[in-house]
Amino acid sequence: MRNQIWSEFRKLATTRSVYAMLAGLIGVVALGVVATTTGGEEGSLLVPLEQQVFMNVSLTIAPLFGLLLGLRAFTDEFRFGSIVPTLLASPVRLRVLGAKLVATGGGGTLLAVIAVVVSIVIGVPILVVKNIDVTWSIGGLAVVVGRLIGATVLWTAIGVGVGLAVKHQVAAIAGTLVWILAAEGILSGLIPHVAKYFPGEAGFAVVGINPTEVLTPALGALLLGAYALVAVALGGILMQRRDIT
Amino acid sequence: MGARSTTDRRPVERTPLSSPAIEVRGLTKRFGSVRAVDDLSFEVHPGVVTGFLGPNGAGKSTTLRMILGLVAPSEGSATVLGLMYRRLPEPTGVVGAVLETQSFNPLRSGRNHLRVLASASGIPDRRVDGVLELIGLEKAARRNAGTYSLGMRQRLGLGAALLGEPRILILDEPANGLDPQGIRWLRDFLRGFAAEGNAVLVSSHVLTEMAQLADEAIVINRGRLVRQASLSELTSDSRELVVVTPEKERLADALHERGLEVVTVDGDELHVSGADAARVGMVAFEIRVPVLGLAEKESSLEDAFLELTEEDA
Repeated sequence: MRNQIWSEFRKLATTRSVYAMLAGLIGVVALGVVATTTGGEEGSLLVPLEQQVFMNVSLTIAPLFGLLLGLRAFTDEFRFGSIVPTLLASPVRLRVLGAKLVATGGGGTLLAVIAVVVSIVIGVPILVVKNIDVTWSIGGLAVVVGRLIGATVLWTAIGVGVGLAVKHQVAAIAGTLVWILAAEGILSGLIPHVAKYFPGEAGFAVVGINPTEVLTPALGALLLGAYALVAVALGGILMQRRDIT
Repeated sequence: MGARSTTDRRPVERTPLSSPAIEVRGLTKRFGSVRAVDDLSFEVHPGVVTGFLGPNGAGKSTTLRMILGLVAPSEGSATVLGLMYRRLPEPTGVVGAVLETQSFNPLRSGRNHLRVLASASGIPDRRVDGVLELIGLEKAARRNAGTYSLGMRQRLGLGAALLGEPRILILDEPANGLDPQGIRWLRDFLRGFAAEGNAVLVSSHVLTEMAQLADEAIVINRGRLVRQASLSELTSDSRELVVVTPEKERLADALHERGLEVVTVDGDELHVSGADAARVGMVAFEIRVPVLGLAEKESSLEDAFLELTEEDA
């Protein structure tokens, strides 16, 4: 299993489009932070750094990129046909699934940390220029970063499972994004009592954005974890049964 | 093609491979109502190159994928050294396989592609460099694999198969896209590989290549085994004797009475299958029929292949 994990990490590290994704994440977070801190939304004098509004940018964007990273883990392999040599080298398929979960989880952690660092590096100087004295505590920041890493890693696992189940890259990415960005919002108007337990809401709850009365960050993490488990189990079962033709 | 010849390969002292290297028993694969592979049984032995022949859609690729654990059989079994592929402790050290021309991320370099695969089997990076040299891709190793020509892609696939220094090679149409030097290199390589006591199963529909490459042949059609034989047996099966005689009806009747098959009558010529010149000459002498010409018509693998697959169709 250690060999497979190392192989998957190397795969991530030597794929150029992964770096393009990273550049995209940095760009989107930077733009979002600049827009938030220089726009109508004023930084608050009274709240510490980790609760500043501009931090929400990384808390929203990093999990989304984590999801994309997870979705690509298997769909890239099916798209390029590299699933064949991958499975020839590691014919115990669940081992490949496990290795991809670990590697993309590691990648997701890195994305989360980079997103927070970019937010702080860009957001804090802007607030300082605006004469807002930013206070912070290591403990408070650690909780926010820890929750963000947790949420991002769970989203990568959901992505790995969904990508494995759907196989087709465009269908997997488009379908998941449409669900998260549009369908959940529409359904929350129609069936609000059910919609607040959807994955997107659970994900927001984990990072502490607009947590509903029902979903505390801990409950959100449990629910998102359950969604990840279902996605991975479904992908795993289909992978075991699927013919690679 | 710039690849090193097989004589450059490091000689390795290895234990003899047990026989059969690959054993397929009653293998069947149904896709819905279609039986892609139908109760197929054959063996692949070490020391020889075994050709896997059949027309398009005969079930060759599905069979190879079942041997490699990529496709689950509906019935029957396929084992490598007595074990299912996925039960092999170090599969890439036992079997190297090339199934598709493109099986890599085009935005990753050839070297990185091989390194990733090597890592999955615990193979060190220096072996990757050795393989790149062996397949003649060392100069293009750092280029995106997406920029490779078809022949270079084939060699990259072969490189991936060779990483674990396997004892058995399974190759699906490996000569596609190779230039004449590339084909010669592949032929020499596979012959050398088999001569070291290893086993090779190679599918192809290009029969002239197979005639130069393989020692044994497994012919399948519509998922069923048509024939497993040595290549020389296969071609001698469809060898014909051409007899020129003014009394062809009498000779044809006499041959028929003695159990010899007259395939065609063409002008003054009789085409007789499954007989040698001496026997036909003796029959003609016994019944006092003049023979003006007697020649063996050389049969190609293509003739044998077409005959076998047409009979079965």
